[in-house]
Amino acid sequence: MFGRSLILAAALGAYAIAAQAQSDLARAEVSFVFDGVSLTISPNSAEAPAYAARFAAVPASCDPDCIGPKRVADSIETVTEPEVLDFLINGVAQSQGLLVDARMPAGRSMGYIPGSVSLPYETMGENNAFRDDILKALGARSFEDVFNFADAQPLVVFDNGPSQNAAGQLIAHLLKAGYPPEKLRYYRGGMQVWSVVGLTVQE
Amino acid sequence: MSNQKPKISFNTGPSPRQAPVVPQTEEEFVVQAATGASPSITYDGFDREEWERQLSAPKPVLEPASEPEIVPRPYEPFTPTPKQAGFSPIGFFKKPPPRFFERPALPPVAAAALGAVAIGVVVAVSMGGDDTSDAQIAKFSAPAEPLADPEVTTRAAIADMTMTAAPSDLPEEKVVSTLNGAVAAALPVSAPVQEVSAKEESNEALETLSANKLRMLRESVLAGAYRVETYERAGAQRIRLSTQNARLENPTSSHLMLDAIARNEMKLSKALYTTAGAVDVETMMFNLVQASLLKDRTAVSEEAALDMSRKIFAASPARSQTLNGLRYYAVQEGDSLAYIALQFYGRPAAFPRILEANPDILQSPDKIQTGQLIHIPR
Repeated sequence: MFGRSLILAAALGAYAIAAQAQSDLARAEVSFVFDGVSLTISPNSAEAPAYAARFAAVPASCDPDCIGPKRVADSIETVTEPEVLDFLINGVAQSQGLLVDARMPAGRSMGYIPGSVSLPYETMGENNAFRDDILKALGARSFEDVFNFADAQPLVVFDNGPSQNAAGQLIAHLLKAGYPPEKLRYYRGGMQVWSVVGLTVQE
Repeated sequence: MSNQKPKISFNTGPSPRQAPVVPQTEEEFVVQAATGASPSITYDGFDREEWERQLSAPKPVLEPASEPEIVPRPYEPFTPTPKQAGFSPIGFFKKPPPRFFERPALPPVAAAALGAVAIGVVVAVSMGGDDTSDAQIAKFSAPAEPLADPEVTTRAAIADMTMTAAPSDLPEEKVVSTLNGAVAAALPVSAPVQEVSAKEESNEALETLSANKLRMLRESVLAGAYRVETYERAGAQRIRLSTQNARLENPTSSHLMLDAIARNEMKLSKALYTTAGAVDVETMMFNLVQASLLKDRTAVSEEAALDMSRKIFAASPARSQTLNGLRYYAVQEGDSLAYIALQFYGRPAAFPRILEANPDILQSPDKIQTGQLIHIPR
């Protein structure tokens, strides 16, 4: 009897999750203002297939080919396209966060998500002279050699996609610098999934 | 039925129903061991009728499985309503969970009515011209008030709170009138005593007590035996240093000092008054210990003093907001200007920087009020 009701409860729970997932289905067309420029992201962009082929051709970060993990670090949440779109409108456009492209400049020049900013992962390396200035630009307060991250921007970090580890390395660098993990999220799909889904790519 | 399974218990000792015979002598023990301890198998408490009744009882009918019907929802248009991320507690008094980013603070009804374009307009308005933010600042700012006590602190006369020159270097009335009065009173210096009066005696007692207390705190800080403690006051998260021996808050000496301040025997920096007009004891003690360490002029003490600031600074939960590229902080209940300076600049003594940046709002360091938006220069 008890076991049966437990199964029923579990089934209802699954139903609730399914309903939640369904309601998150979102039409992927958004407009927002970023850095004074009005940007629109729409699905079925005509150039998307060409971009998809371009990003798919980028060799994997490691040899032989490997694929990125579901999570880059224990405490870092992995997000998908609807959350990225929501973040762009309600976070980035309101100056409450940044969508961060962790690729090196060569990768960035192949095209990027509208509204994202470039932060090549190597610039956050421990020995990089610009690291502290970048941390301050991200909102961290500094005193002597310590940082306070109470005002630091929430960041959603992406790279070329699951076959690349630039985002993982950038997040590792940020965590090492003391960036609070609750202010970091990982968009694993990156440019590969973004373009396959047909979303707008800016160049 | 043939498959009945009566409860069988294996009993290797004497039957439990018999009173145990405790051997009194060695002979009895030997006899008992030889005769009484043979293993036996007993049916223990088995009731055959009850057993059969249970077997023939009707089984409870299980409810038929009602599979929940999962109806896929239609593909819905994307409406960027400012929804809460994840599950959030409901009610006025529940603290909202930490959110990944601050969503625009719009009432749900209004937000639902607004499309992406409308939000764009809101952004444009809030990012646009100086008028909006000025009005916002003006709304929160206090009406201009004259200085309550103009001879004590003028904006020009605000000294560095960590000024560590020996008080004997200065004329006595200057010591009293500078912001270092508290430091001077707390330090074990031999103040020139002209005549012994009741006031002088209480000052001496105060100095002795404060000196002892201060010495304890100093030792703890020098030994690194302290930590940053987060606590809540007036609904706001606050931080303070806590040593193993003593907290910076509420030591006996601080009470005595408060009494002395109340009796006008000791002057206190106006930056140490909170929005409620009380003395910010934690920041006062922090400043006393730090100033006392800096007074040593040794590398070890200076490093220890700096470390106090580092620890507080790194742990500060204070959040600012950016308006027109400038950083603003909304004053919270219980804040003092020195505490704000400690959190943003790592030193309570850095408060004049904030004071100078807010000439219209802060006529005097103790004029801060809950809710004021004050400019914190980067």
